[in-house]
Parts: sequence; C-alpha cells; structure tokens
Amino acid sequence: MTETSVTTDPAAAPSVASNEPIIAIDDLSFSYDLGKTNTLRNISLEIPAGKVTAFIGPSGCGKSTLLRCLNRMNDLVDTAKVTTGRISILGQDINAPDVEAIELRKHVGMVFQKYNPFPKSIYENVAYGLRVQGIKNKGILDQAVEESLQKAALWGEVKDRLDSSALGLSGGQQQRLCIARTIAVKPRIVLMDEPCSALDPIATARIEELIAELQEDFTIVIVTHNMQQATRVSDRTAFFYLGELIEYDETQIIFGNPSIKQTEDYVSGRFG
Amino acid sequence: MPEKSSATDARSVQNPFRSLSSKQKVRDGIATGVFAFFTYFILACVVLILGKITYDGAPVIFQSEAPFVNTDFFSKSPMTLHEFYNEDGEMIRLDKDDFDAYKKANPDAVIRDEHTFSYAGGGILGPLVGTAMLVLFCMVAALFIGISAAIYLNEYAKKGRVVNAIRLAIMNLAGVPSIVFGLFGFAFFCFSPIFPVFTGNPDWEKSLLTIPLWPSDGYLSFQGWGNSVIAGAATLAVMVLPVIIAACEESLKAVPKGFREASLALGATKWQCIRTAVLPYATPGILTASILGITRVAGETAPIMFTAAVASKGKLPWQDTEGSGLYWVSNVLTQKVEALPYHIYTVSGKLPANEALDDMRYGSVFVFLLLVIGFAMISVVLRSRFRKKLKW
Amino acid sequence: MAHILKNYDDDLSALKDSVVEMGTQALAAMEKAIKGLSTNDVELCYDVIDEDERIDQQEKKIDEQGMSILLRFNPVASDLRHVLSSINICRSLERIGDHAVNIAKRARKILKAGELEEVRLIDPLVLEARKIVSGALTAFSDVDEQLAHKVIEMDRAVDKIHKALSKSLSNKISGGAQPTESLLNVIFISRSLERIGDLAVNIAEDIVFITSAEDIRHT
Repeated sequence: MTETSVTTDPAAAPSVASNEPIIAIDDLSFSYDLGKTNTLRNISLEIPAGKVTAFIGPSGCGKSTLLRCLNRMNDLVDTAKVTTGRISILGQDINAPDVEAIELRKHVGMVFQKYNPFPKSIYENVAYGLRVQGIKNKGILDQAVEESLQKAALWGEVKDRLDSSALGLSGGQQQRLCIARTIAVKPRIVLMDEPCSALDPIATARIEELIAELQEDFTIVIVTHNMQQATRVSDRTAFFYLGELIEYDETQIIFGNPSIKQTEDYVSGRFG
Repeated sequence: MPEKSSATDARSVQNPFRSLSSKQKVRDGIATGVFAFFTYFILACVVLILGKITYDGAPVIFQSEAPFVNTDFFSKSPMTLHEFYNEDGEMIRLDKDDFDAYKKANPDAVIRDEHTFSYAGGGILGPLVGTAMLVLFCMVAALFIGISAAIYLNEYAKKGRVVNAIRLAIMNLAGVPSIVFGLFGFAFFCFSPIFPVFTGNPDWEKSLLTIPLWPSDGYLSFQGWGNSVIAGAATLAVMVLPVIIAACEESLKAVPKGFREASLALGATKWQCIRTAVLPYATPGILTASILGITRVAGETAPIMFTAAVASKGKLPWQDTEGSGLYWVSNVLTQKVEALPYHIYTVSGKLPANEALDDMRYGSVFVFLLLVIGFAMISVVLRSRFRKKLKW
Repeated sequence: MAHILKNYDDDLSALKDSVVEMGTQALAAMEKAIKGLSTNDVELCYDVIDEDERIDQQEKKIDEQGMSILLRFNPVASDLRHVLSSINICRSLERIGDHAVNIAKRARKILKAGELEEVRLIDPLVLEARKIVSGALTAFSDVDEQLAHKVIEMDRAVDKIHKALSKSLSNKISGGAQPTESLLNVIFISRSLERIGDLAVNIAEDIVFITSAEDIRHT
C-alpha cells in the first residue's frame, strides 16, 4: 500500500471514463441494527458523473440513509451494517477493508440539512478541511478559501469580513459557507442532505442556482423533500419507498410520465 | 344546599366569569400560604446564616482605617495568643511572635496573669495556602481524568449496556459519603506502596521498591504518599470525579451533532474532530462545572482529615523543605498541610468555647464563605456569558 | 387514486366538467346550425351566432381554472398533462364553435336566397362530423385512448366525403348550375365541417397525450 497523499487534487484521483458511472450501487442492503431489519433493501443504481441526481421519497424511505452510505457517515452509528451488495465509487468498493473512511470523505463531501458552520471565523470554516489534512501554508489556504467562496457565490458578500464569526451570517449565507467549506477540499462528489429545508424561498433559490453552477465541477447527489426542487435542480431522480428503489430515471420522466404507478402517485400527491 | 346551587346557577347564567366561591378562595389561599411560607423559611435560614457570620466575621476582616483589611489575618498562620496585664493593669493580647518580640524588647517588663489561647492568634495564611494547594492539585487531576473518561464514554465507547453500567458506577460514586472517601484515601494513597516519592531517606520498612537514583544520593521509593497534600488532593479528586464526569458529558452532549458530522465529513479523524470541533465548544461548560466542583472540594473536611490535614503547622509547605529539584517538589507534595475547613473544625469544634477564640472562628468562617460564594458567582457569571456568546 | 388534497381533486374534476360542458355546447351549436339549414329555420341560425358568446366565455373560464390549478397545486405527471390538454382542447372547442357560427352564417345566406336542392348533399358529411365530434368528447370524458385513436381514423372518411362533395359541387357550378352563390356557400359549409373534423382529431391527440404522454401530433 502506498502512502495516501495529503493533497486532494481531483486530477490525482482515479478518473473514470466519461460514460462510466461515478457511483455504482449494486444490490445494496443496509441495516441500522446489525442486520435484524434492513433499512435499505437491494438497491441498485448508477449515478453518472457531472450530473445532479436527486433522491426523493417519503420520510423514512431510506433516501438519507443511502446518501450517508455513500461517504460512510453511517460508520458513526455503532450498529450500522451493510448486509449485502456493494457501493463502488470511482471503481473502488468503498466498504472494502483497505478503504479508510477518512480518505473516502475527502473525495465525497457532504452538506447537511441544518447549516452547521463551526463557531469560528468565516475563513477558518472554509480552511478547516485543509487544516485537518495538515496544510499550514498561508498562501495555499488563502487561495483555497477565496476560490471556494467564489465558487459558492459568497465571496462578494464576505470578503471584507473573513475574520468575523460565521454565526453572524444569515441562514442562507451559512449554508453557502458550508458548501464552500465542503468544496474547499476539492471532492469529486458532493452529497447534499436536504440542504434547503431550513431556508426561506429566496435563500433556497440561491442554493439551487449554486447547485446548477457546481454541477460543472462536481457530481452532486441531493436528497430533497421538495419535489419542485428536485424537478428544478436535478438531471436524474430516484424515487425510494419503504427502503426500496422504486424508480430511477431522467427527472423529466419521473415527474412527467413515470412508468411505475407508485411513483406517479407519490409525485402527484395521491394517497400512497 | 339546593337553594344555594340554584342561586349560583342563576348567577352563572348572568356572569360566566363570576369569582370563585369563598370555600375555593380559602383553599387557594391556604395552599399559596403554605408554599410561600416554606420558601421564605429557606430564605430566612440563608439570611440568618449569612447575617450572623457577616455580623461577627466582617469586623475581624475589615477595619476602619487604611488599608481597610486586616492584613495580619491573611499574612500570618494560626498561632497561640498570649493575654496578660502589664504593670499599669492594662490587658494586652499579643500573638506568639509579637509576644516573644515584646519580651525581648522589654526584658524587665511586668507580665501578670498570663493566659495562652491555642490557635486564637495570628491569621489563616497556612490554611488558605493549604486549601489552595489541595484544590489546585485536586482539580488538575480530576479534570484530566474526568475529561478523558467523559470523552471516552461519550465519543468513543460503543453505546450499550457496558457503557451504561460504567456510567451508573460512576454516578454511584457520587453518592458515597465523604468520610468513606477519606478512609479510602487513607488506606490507598497514604499507605499502599504503589505511590512513589523521591526522597533522600526512604522508609525502608514501608517501601515496596527502592531505586537509588545515581548520581544523586536520593532514591525513588515506592512507599505510599503518607499523610500529605498530594494524598489529600488525590482523595478529593476521586470524590469530585463523578461530578466532573457528569458535567463534562453534559457539555459534550450539548455540542451539536452537526459539528461532529461536518468535521468528519471534511475528512477529519476522530481525534481531530474531537479536538477541533467538539472540545473547544464544550470547554466553557466544563469550566463552569469545574468551578462549582472547586467550591465543593474546598469545603470538604472528612476526606482530608485522615489524608492531608494537620491542625497546626509552623511554616508554609515550601518553607520547610529539604533537597532540590525533584526531591524538593516531592518533599513539598508529601507534607501535611493546614486546610481552611479543617482549621474551622479545629477552632470551633475541638477547642473549648472561648471569647478569645471568637475572632478567629468568625473570621475564618467569614473568609471561607466569601470564597465559596465568590466561586459560585464566577461560575454563574461565566455560564451566562458563554451562553450568550455561543449560540448555535 | 385520489389526491391527498381534496381541493386538488375537486378542482381537477371541475376543470374536466367545464371542458365536457364546453364540448356539449360546441356540438350543440354545430347541430343547431345544420338543423337551421335543413329545416329552413333562420331563427336557429341567429341563435347559433348569438350563443357563440357563451362558448367564448366558457373558454375563458377553463383557462382560469387551468391556470389556478397550475398555480396552486403544481401538478406533475398525468395531472399536469390533464391540465395542459384541457386548455388545448378548449382552444379546439372554441374553434369548433366558430365554425358552427360560420355554418350558421352561410346557412342564413342560403335560406335567404331560397330553397336549394343540393343542401341535401351535405347530409352524409354532417353525419360523420357529428360522429367524430361526439366521439372525441366521449373519449375525453371517459379518458378512452382507444376511442381517441378511432376518432383520428374517422377523420379520413370526413376528408374523403368533403373532397367528393366539393368536387361535385364545383363541377355543378362550372356546369352553370344556379344560384352559384348558394352552391358556393354549401361548399364553404362542407369545408367548415371538414375543419371541425380536423379539430376533433386535435382533441383526440390531446387525449392520447393525457393517457400515454406521447405527443402524436404531426407524426
């Protein structure tokens, strides 16, 4: 085994052929109680690179659970277990014994439902991911902070107060800061777990606009309760119900003419 | 009755918001009165205690001329008070050192009817220093151990029965009477020969293992700490640990899960996550809780009675030591100390009541009370300040 | 299956009812105009012209209902197609109404000019036009994709009859049959009926879009 390099340059990461999916989930079953009951059952889907993929479904359908499987955030739960199947990201089985979750998470970033900047300065929030990788060079950090804030469409609003507390920002700004913090480590994939559920419509629109822009550099997987949001931001949509993947297709099709009745009932707001 | 009820019925039609019946009013009044009485009863107790001690103690500490504070009370250790009549029949009270100086300066002075009162003279410097040392060493040890344990329980250990059992055991420790901690400390820290000291002349009988430390002429001797400030501090630390651990766990739990998740999602290791995204935000809570712990530790008498405290000691711990370097440190730490609560116990409980002792009694208690209230206030102020500052 | 929001269901079915009602009005207008012609009843023709206002108002009402549903419930999938198609269908129905007015106007002129034997010639076309329009309306109210396809098929017969009719009438005119103007008006009525057939086809295509999400126009 070679030493893992500290820098996370996307170019350095193994690249995938353009037609190959960046995430391939194959017959995945997942349990929160050591396999007694499966929260996710036999999920198979392939997520294309450079696209926005939305996971929709009623509460408790497993969409957030699946999202958290993708960067192994479920490792935090002692009794969580992948019971069958595998998840390959960039061609590598991420649950293989020689995969380090910490390294995986540098390639697969995550933005959370409740914006959660650290009670530090704006600058330190964005630099956090690089600092934990041991980067101390002020020049590199400065550049990364500016770049990430630019990309997160926040630079103009905060460039004069990088040293003030992140908690002084508005909710929408805090969430964009969290996005900046996530993309500062240059992940290949950005997972978003209901990123707008705590935001007002204007802030939501800003984030959605940002997602459209980030799509150029990152593969985005977004969990959302807001179906209009899924139609607005995503290229492909997966509909989950009771831990199973019901339908996965182009967003246009899922919301225009889904082939499975359950999907149609859910997206058009009928009794399920 | 039927007449009355029909009357009330009629009234109820007229006014749906009519006042309560007189019976209900009386009951309501009685209930209010009982609850209020007991509340004000407690308040009265507090006022009585504080009033009495302040009334008798404040004059000992404060004085009307500059520097307004009785500096002797804080710069001298307890000593014997000499009372006598001089040739003019005036009654004079002098601390032992002043008395010796007086006799030296006036070798032929007339001293009649001399009385001595133990502990009534001097000040409380020794007990203050002793208590400060005990609290300091105790808190250093308790915080280090307590925070480590709390982090392990809250962040690392797998949730389940084992952790709950450990937690329960720790919480049970909080219910153990302090005298039991005293006896435990006495048996464990003072005498079990697993605790080492650096010394020039080891106690060969007690020592389990004595290692000569060449080229100095001293030894590292595993002979127990004996009755000493470090044994007392360790005993107090064990006693306060449950409080510290509970407070630390609470503070750790109060740090939003989002911080941990965000940190880990950015590729931090568990320890990096705890160090940079959890502990900084738990520290204020831990500190405020620790300060409350200090007031508890500072006030305990029983655990130090057997392990550390001595009623009277001529010099401060570091004035009475031999050796240098490690030997000096070891020597300081293995000395007995005077301690404020034990001093109060001695002058109030062990010695016969005596008008000459009153100043020392009330003065000591007053100072002690001020200290405890002071720490409690600091804790309250810190808590409210952090609460305002750190909102997430 | 019903929507969780009862209001949503109510509004969708109200929209459908409005479209069906408008369809009935348009069909009735067409039949009335034809009846006026065949029974020499000028009054009926005037009625058709007057009543077209009602059909126009109904179109506006459907537009409002459709817009309100889009606005309030953000319909997706089949609901969205239903609303979009309903709005499209009411356009077609409005034009069927306009053609009924055209027929009525032509009929009035023919009646003014005196009885004309050749009026009988359009009867088969009227029969087909009535069949195709009512077929389209039934297909809409029953959401019947098969019937919709049948309606599209029926249009061929309409076209064929219209072509033959206008050819024979043109021949009569060039052969010197009188009065030319009335004969021309019969040709115009025939053309209107043919156009009504095309509009019924548009409606049928919209119904296919509702049920299968396929856009079969211009294919």
